[in-house]
Amino acid sequence: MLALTLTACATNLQSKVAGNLNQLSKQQTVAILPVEVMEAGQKETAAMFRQGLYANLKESKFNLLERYVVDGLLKQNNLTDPAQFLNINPMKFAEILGADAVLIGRINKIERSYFVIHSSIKIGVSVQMVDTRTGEILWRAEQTESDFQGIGKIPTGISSIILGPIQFVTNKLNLHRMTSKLVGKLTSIVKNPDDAEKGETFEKPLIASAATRDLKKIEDVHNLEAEWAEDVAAYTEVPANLNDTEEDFISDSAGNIQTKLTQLTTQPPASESEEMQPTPVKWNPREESSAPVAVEPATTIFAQPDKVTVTPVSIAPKATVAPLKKITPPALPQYTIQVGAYKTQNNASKIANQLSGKGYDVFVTQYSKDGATLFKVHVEKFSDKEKAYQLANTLSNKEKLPNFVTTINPG
Amino acid sequence: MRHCFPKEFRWLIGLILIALIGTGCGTAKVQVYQYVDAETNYPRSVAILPFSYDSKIAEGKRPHRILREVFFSFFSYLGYSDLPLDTIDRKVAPTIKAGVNLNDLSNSQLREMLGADAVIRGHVMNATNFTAGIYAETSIKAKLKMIDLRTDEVMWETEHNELSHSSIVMPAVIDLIRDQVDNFEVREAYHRAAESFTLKVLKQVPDPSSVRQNEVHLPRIESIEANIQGNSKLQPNDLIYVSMEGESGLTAHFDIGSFKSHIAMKEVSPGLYTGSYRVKKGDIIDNALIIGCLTSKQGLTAKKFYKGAMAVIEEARLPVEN
Repeated sequence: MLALTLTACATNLQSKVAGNLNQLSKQQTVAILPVEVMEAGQKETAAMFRQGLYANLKESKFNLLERYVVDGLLKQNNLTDPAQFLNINPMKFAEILGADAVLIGRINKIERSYFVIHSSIKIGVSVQMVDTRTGEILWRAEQTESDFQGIGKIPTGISSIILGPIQFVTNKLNLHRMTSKLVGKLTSIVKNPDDAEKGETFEKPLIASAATRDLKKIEDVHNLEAEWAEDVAAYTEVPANLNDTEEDFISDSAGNIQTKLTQLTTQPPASESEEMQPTPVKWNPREESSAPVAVEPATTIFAQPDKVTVTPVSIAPKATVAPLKKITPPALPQYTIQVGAYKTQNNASKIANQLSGKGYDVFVTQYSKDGATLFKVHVEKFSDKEKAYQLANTLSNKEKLPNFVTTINPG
Repeated sequence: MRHCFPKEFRWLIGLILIALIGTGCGTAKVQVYQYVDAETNYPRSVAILPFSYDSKIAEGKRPHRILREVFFSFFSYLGYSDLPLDTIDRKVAPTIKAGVNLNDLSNSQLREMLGADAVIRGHVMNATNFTAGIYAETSIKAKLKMIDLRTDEVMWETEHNELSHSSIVMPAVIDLIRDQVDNFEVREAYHRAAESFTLKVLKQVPDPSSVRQNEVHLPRIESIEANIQGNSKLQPNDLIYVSMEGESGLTAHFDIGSFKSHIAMKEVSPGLYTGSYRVKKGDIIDNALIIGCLTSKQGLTAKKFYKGAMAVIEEARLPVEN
C-alpha cells in the first residue's frame, strides 16, 4: 500500500470557483476557446484537452457554444492566436461570440523523460473561466498530472525493467489517458460547484485584469460625465421654436415608444413590461463646499432691459466676471423656474429673448466652476413656492419646456 | 547495420522495436462512404438513437447506455448540431412504449419524429468486465453507423472491439494492482472503455466543422440605448428601459450584468426592440452593464453592451472603511 501511495501517478490540482458560477444555468452559454500551447508539438494534446473539456462540461449546468461556431467567429474576427486571449477584454468576447462566459485554457508543459530504466510523463495545464458580462473570474485552476514507469513500480521481470519505460514513454495512448484523467478531475468542481469546499472558493469577486482595465476607463468616463452633468443641467440645446419643441419620446400610430430616452426617474410600482412615459428631468442641486464668493447686481444684456438680465450668482475665484460686491440676501428665499442652462451666452440669450417676447419676466445668471462657465435661464421670481410650481406647469404644458423650480437666494 | 551497432546493443534494439510495434495497436476501423467537402450537403443535425444491445449482456451494467452517453459527449465536438439525448428520448418514448422497435422504423418516419438530418444507430454486441487477481479485463464491442435520413445513405459505419486488460505480463506490479482496483469499479471501467472506443472512432469520422465555420453569422445589432446615465444611482421602483435596433423578426432580451438575465424585449416596430426592468427592493446591482441580446432562428445570439452607464443600486455599495 505504501508503494502504491508513493508510486501511483501524481496529481497536483489547485482550483478555485466563484459563488457566481452557480448563477450560470442552461440559459447561459459558455464558449471553450482554442487552447494555448507553449510549443508546436503540444497541439495534438491541446486539441484533445479541449475536446475533453467539451465532453466533460457537456453535463454541466450551462450550455456550451459549439466548437465550430466558436472557431468560425474567432476566425472572422482575426482572433486565431490563443496566446492573445488572456489580454482581450472578456466583454469583447461577449460581442464577438455572444457567449456569457469564456473558458481560456493553456498547456503549460508536456515533459517526457527517459533514462533507460526509468521514464516519466508530466502534463501541466491551466484554465480560467471568465464571465463576459462582468469580467468576473468564475473558475481558475492549474493542474499537473504525472506518471512514470521504472524500478519504483516494481517491474514484473528483467525485460520489463528495460521495456516498460520505453513502452510507457512512446505509447501515445499513455499521454491521452493522462489527459483524459486530468480533464475529468479538473472539471469535476465546475460540474458540481456546490461541492466546492471553503478553500476552493474565491473570498471575494475577482475581476479579470483585461476587464478591470476597460471597466475602470468606462467608470472614469461616467464619473467625468456625471460631474459635468451636475454642472450643465440636463439640456444645452436651444429649442428652434418653443411651441414646436420635440418631446423626448415619440410615439408611432400604434402608440409604441419609438426611440429617444430620457433620464431615469422614480415612478410608482408597475409591471415590468410597462412602457416608460416622458418624465420631467430630475435635478440634483450640486452641493457647494463653500459659500458663493460674490454676487453682481443685475446687468442688462437684452433688448428688454427691465426683463432680461445676467446675474452671476456663484463665481469661482478665477472667474472673470463683474467686480465683486457684497449684497445682503433677503430674509426669505425666492423661487424661480430654471428653463435652461447653456455653455454659451448666445444660446441663453436666444431662449431668453423668445420667452421675454412672450411676456415672461426672464433673467440669466452666470455660473462658473473650474474655469467652465454656464448661463442659466430663469423665469420670474416668487416668494410663494406654489406660484412657482404653477408657472412651471404652464411652461411645461404651454411652451413644452422642461424646467424645474429652484431658489435664487436661499434664506 | 552491423557497422552501426555493436553486438551487445542488438538485443536492446530488438526490444525497442517490439515495444514500438506494440504501441501501434488499438485503432478502430471506420468505413467512410461520404466525406465532407464544401459542395456536399452534409447533414447538420444529428440524433444519436438509443443503442440496442445483445441479449447476453446483463442490463444492470448498462454498457450500451454508457457508450451512448460518452459517444454523445465527444461527438458534440465535431461540427454537427447534435440533439440532446433527453430530447431524443422524449421523442422516441411513445414509439418504444407502443412496443415498436426503433430499428423497424423507416428513415422518413425517424426524420419526421426527430426533426434531424441524420441519425446514429448503435448496437452493443458484447461487453465484459471481470477482475480475477492477476488478470482484469473490460471490453465493449459495438457496431455504429450514421445514416443520412434525407437520402437513406449510410455515411459511415464501424465495428470495433475496445479491450482494456491488465495481467502479469504488465511491466510493473504497481500498475497491475492499480488496474485490478480500477477495474473493480464497473461503471468507471466501462466509462473508460467507452471513452477509448469513442475517441478512436471519432478520429476517423468526417467532421464538417471547417465547412460550417464559414456559415456562422451572428444576428446584427445596430445600437442599444438605455435610460440610465453615467454614475446615476438606482433605487427601488426605478425603471430601467432599454431599446435596441437590429435585424427584424428575431428574439431579443437584455441582461443587467450577471445580476438579471433574459429580460424579454418586444419588437415594437421592425428591427426595434424595447424592454424594461423595474428595480425591486433587495436587488443588488453594482457596476452592471446593460447588455442587449438578439437571438437568431438558428439559436445564435449576438450581444451588444450599452456603455453609456453602469447600473448601480446605492445600497449595493458597501461603505468604504477607513
